Amino acid sequence: MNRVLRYLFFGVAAVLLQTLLVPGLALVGQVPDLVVIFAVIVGAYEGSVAGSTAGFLVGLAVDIYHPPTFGAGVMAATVAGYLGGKARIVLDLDHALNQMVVLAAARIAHDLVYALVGALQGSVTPLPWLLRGTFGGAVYTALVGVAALALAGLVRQRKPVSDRR
Amino acid sequence: MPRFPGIPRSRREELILVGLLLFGALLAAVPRPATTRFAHDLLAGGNAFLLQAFGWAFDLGADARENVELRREVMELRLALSDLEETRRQNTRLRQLLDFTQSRGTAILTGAEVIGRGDGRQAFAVTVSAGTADSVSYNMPVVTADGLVGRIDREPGRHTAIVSLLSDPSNAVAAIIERSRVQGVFQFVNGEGRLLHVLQAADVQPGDRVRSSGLGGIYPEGLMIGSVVSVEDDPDGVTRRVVIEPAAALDRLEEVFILTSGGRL
Repeated sequence: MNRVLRYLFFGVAAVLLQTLLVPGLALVGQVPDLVVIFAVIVGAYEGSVAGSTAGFLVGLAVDIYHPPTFGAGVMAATVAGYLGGKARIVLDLDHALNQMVVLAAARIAHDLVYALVGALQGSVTPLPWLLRGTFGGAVYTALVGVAALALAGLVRQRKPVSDRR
Repeated sequence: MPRFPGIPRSRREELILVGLLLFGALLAAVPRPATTRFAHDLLAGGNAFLLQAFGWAFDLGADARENVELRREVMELRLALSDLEETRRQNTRLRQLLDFTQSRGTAILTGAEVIGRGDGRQAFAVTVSAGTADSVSYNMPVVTADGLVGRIDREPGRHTAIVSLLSDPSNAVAAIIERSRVQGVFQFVNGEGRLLHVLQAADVQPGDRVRSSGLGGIYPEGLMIGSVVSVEDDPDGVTRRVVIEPAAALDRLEEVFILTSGGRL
């Protein structure tokens, strides 16, 4: 129960920070995605079911905050959380480089899904949107995410679980 | 007991993913209900509140920084004000000296600053920034706008000179009461200025002004020495004990004039 409450707290914090603080952290027009980071961390620690559920919930919260693409964020963050859970099977997430690869891939997958759904809704022009923020944002997200994973490791006092088989 | 009997674990994860994605697609497809708009308004309102709170906190930080900066500026301004006040006081003194020099007769005055106290042996002297290069020589009277200060003691240097103050017990000035023309000798005795050799019958009252009489040969006539503070009969039954407060502030001298020419003051 404590664990769920802890994830709930960090999920709410991720949504609030993403909507409040992150726009002010833009570097050369690129911003990190804390929602993706949160979903990947939950996936890395708890598995892909928990990761996709966490992504679904935080994506919903962000979508509520940004209604024009309602539903797009839900699906995108769900995919990101799922990838985080799957990554621990194929990669050793103890290493920062692997963490960065997973985080960057999750951000790119998130943006692809978001752009696709947003395009179907008529609220996003996919290609310019992807070219403008996805790849730089993936690098930024990976860097911030590695720091967040290190912090998560301190909080939980253990590394992300590796299910490599 | 397994939660999803009959479905392999790996498939379960994909199944849940698909379910969530379908739910998300449904959310994306249907028009937003009123509850969603309410949730949005609530979240946006909460965000606006938090933004205001953050802004307030940042403002407090900025205020604190501004406060420190303002305190520093206040300190600097106080120092500047202090400098200005000192300059104003100096200006006032110099104006008085200027008025004094303009009101003098044919005497030539040489201005000098007090650059030292004492002459190394006694406390009744000051060093001034004028010497033989400024035509200053031994025994020349030294004055301020308020009155007589003393005289040049010993041969001056090229750019400095030592002034023996009136408070030096070895200095004596031939003096006269301005009102009654009673004459005497002004001299410091036991740490106080006295007008000596004044007979008990002489007309001397507290408040009388005392000037140099010019009889001594060093100080010209008319220089303000001070004023009478008290008058008492001496026990000898012949003279009076007349205490004089010097007009010049001998312990706070900053600028002085040396009478470098023997004209009349």
